[in-house]
Amino acid sequence: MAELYIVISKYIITILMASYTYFSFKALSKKTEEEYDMFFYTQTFLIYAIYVIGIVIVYLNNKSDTTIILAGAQMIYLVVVLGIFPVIYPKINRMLLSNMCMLLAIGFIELGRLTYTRSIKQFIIIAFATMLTLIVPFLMSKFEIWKQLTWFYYFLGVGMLLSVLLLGIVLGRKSNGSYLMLTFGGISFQPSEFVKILFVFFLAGLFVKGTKFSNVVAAAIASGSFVLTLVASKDLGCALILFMVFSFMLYAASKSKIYLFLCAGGGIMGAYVGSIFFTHVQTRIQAWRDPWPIIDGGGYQVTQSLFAICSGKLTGTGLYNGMPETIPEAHTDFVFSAIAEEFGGIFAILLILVCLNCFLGFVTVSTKQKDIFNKLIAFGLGIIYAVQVFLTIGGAIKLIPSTGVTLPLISYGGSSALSTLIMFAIIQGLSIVGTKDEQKEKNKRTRKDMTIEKKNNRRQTDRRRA
Amino acid sequence: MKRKTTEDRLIAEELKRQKEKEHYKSLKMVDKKKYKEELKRERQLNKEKKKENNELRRTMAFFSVVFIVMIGYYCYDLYQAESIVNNSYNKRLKAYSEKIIRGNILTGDGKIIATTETDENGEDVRKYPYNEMFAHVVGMNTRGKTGLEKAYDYNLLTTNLNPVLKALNEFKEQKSPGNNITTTLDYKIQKYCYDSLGNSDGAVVIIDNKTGAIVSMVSKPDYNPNKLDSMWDKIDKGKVKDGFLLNRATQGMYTPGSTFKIFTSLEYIRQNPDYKDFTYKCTGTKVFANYPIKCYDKTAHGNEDIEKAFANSCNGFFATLGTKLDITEFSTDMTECLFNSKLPINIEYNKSKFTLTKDSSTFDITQSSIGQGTTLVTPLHMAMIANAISNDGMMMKPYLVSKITGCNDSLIDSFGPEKYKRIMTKEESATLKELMSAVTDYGTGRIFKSAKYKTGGKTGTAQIDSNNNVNSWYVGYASDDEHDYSISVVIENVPDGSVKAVECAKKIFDNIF
Repeated sequence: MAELYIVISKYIITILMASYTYFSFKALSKKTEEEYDMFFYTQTFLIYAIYVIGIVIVYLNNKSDTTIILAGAQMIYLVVVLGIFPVIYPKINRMLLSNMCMLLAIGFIELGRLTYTRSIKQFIIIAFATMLTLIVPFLMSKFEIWKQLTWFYYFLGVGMLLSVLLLGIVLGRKSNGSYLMLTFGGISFQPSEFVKILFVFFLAGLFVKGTKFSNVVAAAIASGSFVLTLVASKDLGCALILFMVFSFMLYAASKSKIYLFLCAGGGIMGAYVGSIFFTHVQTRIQAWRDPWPIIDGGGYQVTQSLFAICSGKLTGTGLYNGMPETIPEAHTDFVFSAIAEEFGGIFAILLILVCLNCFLGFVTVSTKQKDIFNKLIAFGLGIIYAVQVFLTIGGAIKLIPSTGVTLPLISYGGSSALSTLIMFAIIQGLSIVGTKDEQKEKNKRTRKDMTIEKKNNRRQTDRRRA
Repeated sequence: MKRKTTEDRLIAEELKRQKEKEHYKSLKMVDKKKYKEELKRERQLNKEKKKENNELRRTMAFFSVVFIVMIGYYCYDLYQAESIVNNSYNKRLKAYSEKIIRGNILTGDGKIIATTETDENGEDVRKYPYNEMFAHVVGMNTRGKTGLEKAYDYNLLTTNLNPVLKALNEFKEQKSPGNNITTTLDYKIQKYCYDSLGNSDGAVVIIDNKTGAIVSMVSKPDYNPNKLDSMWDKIDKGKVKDGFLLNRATQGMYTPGSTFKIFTSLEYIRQNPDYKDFTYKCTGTKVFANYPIKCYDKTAHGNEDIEKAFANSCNGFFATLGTKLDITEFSTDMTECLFNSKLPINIEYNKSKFTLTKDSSTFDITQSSIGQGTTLVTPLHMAMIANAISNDGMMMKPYLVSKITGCNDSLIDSFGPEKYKRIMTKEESATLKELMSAVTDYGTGRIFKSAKYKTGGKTGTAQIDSNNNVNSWYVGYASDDEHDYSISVVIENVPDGSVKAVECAKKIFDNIF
């Protein structure tokens, strides 16, 4: 009866996801504490439900005992994260927390379905990474040293990128034609994932001192060196992300639209020059404009992705009923198409909305920051997230050329998962700081009110006396 | 940390609010000015705070729009899903056939022309009850896919059965029935065409003028799609005539011969409003750039205007017209007439070719004007042109499938008449009609003279080699009160001067009307 279960479950999952999305957007415009609590508990329940329904299908198909163990471990993980984090950090932004868990849960199911052995590895990384990130909010809220390390971030970031590039060239090691990985004793990691975060800290550190012209020039040159190193390593996706982060952070810090337009112009010029000089850029652009004549070559990936998306239609084929494994890189860059095929178009659109919700959550945290440095960091991380989601999903649906970027928290990849978890943890840290600031302000105001009141009382008593 | 219960919180909030109210009340009573100032200050603070986050808000709005565009594009992808999914590179199609019994293909009058039967081994075999008759247009499903089998592969391999029943079927290890496709082909007309073409190689296309529906499409040499496997062995051994798999009706590239004079006339009429005044004395041959252009059998047609020349298919006349044309305009107009362009049809076809440019030599221009030279057309294209002429200049979109139905004949999708493109004005089409009826009244197509239906057309003989063998062409239309059809017939490799194509067309029309 597995077939029947799969067919029914795909509708149920879509409905659950729809209500989840509804609540996540309701929670965005903050209601009363009570409603907020209600949203969080409902969302928690929905995450559990979707996860359990999905992982049961995975079990029904591979019938392996390890699936039960893995499912148990993942369930414990979700319960712990959703249950314990808010206890340790009562001021945590629970909406972002549940979004994070929702994306992770979808990733657990999809990776379990696509590449079972890899999903175990991925889960272990996520579990450890989450434990690590547990201290990030604490570090963020207790220490103030972060502002002083501006150039340290720069040299660390560029150093990491250069070392990958040079090692790659010297050792001749490439992954998919680009120099991305550093390997230490069997563990390989992708520095560019972490460089994104360092870059945000670096820019925030610069811009917090103001956006005088000299400062902007320094930032532009430094960012240029980041971007060029990435272009040299052929990591175009990451280069594009950093460029967008630079443009928007400059805009937010300087409050000047002129910079934004300048950046847009520069970006278009850069893309044009890139498309002239790099053949791999040309093939991607060609595969984007019309992949069908080159379906055997450069267009293969995106057409396979479109086949998956279009066979899924609105309601999807149901897990294991599609053939997402025909898409190259289905578990990393094209995980969205794999999800779209089997979970369906409605689910995929809801997923886009949840990602948007995450981004809006990030920036909302940013708006609440009093400290400009913190504000810029939350904002920059939000931009990283939004651009990354846009690049990966836009590439999968052929809205833009594919750039080889992962879908945060869902795609396979340890570095990507770890860095995204760190990003979420930093935002949570800032969110805690932000609410503290609010609290302080409130306290101040009530204190002021009280003094006024006292005065008034005194006056009144004075009058009465008179 | 102990959490306050919600009630506590509510009470606290209420108390706070009351306190605030009282506080402001007292302020108001004591000092109205101060109260106002305070309010003002607070408003300004709020404003500043908002202003401070203006950029962030705008960025949020910007990315929200970006994400919504993404959702929109996703929907756009899904909107064209069927045409995307139906691709031989999509490995899913093969997987579908393990769960679905490939659907039937029917003629417009309900005859099954392709169906799936289960043989004694429990394996599905595709059957074509009318053997060769529909071979090319229906296409094949083994040994690669062609024709309708290819174009509607996805539809034939999907079902509109409700998902739960489908899942139940899968559980019982039963295949679900795929969707059926009803074509616009008319069994009777197809049979007339198939029989009339006889043993000759060539193609016939008939289009319903009012709707654009393709009612018949025949191509020969043909093959029996039921015996394809044994055919294949013969092909390997080189025992079978080459090119029998090619659907000549849509893929055959033929020199148009005199049928191209339709285009030459159209262009001359368009460029010269006083076209009726042009006369020419035909002596049987005329020399252009040292190359003589002869009329058939060197017949001297004497003094002619355009109508007479068209009826007699006078080569000298049309070669002369060609030299008087603005070739750049000619070339653009031919693109408008779908030369070198895509045709609006979803089975395999080739683009017709027209290669004249303003730098072309007189030789090329005169040759092309009478339909020789490098110009190449497909029979389908010519039928579409005839359709446009008889339709007052409006070309209908040709279509082969009228509806897709699911289980219990439930309608899934239907396709109707669609105007495709106006390729000439109503007046131009009327003039061309006059010319074309002159052909059937007293010209090269006068065997139609006694026909009881209204008709018009243009014959053609296209030289293909120096051995005096030609391809015989007929492009025309015919109508009575009930029917209105355009036809395009080409018969390959007949002796020079043959009127085989006209005869074939007449036989078909006589049968239909």
